[in-house]
Amino acid sequence: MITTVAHFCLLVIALSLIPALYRIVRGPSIADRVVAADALTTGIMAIVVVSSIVLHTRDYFDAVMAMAILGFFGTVAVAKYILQGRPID
Amino acid sequence: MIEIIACLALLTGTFFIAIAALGLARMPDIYSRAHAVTKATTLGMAGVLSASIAVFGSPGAELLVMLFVVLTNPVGAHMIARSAYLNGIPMTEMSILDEMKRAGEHGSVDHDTD
Repeated sequence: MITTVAHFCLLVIALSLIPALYRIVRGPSIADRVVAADALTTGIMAIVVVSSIVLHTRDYFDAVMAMAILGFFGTVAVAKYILQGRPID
Repeated sequence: MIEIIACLALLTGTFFIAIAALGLARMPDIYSRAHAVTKATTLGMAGVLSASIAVFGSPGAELLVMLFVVLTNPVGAHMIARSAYLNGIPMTEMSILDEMKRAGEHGSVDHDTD
């Protein structure tokens, strides 16, 4: 039963990546694109976790951890870049 | 029994990730988009990781990932929304309150001023 549910969840999460791609392409400002990229990263992390449930292995959690760290630092870097050198207090 | 709990957690997490995608497509401005996406994806990742803990029987790296996501997702969304505001990206016309504007340009909202 868990395998069927996990396959259905994989389909739904993969479909929910499409609005993030749409917002990255069309979003009117840089901040919209960063928020959409954050949502895309979180969706890919969820896909990897559900895939590890299907494959019944825990070897991919290092990749999930790396994606979480890289997504956060990317967001912080772009937030500092948008401020154009003004310090964040 | 464990399998039913795992299925329910998995469906809950997937539901909230789909809700986040819907909010990203439909919300009118950057601030409401960041608000909807951040909270919903954090809860969605918590549900999916809870399902993984229930399937594998014991918590391992899931707790670490969950702690990191819960700690860093709101911080990143706050920073991106704050720099968007200080950069002059407008709110939607439907918004009725702007506390940052009332507090001055330095971004330190002080609730004791009035």
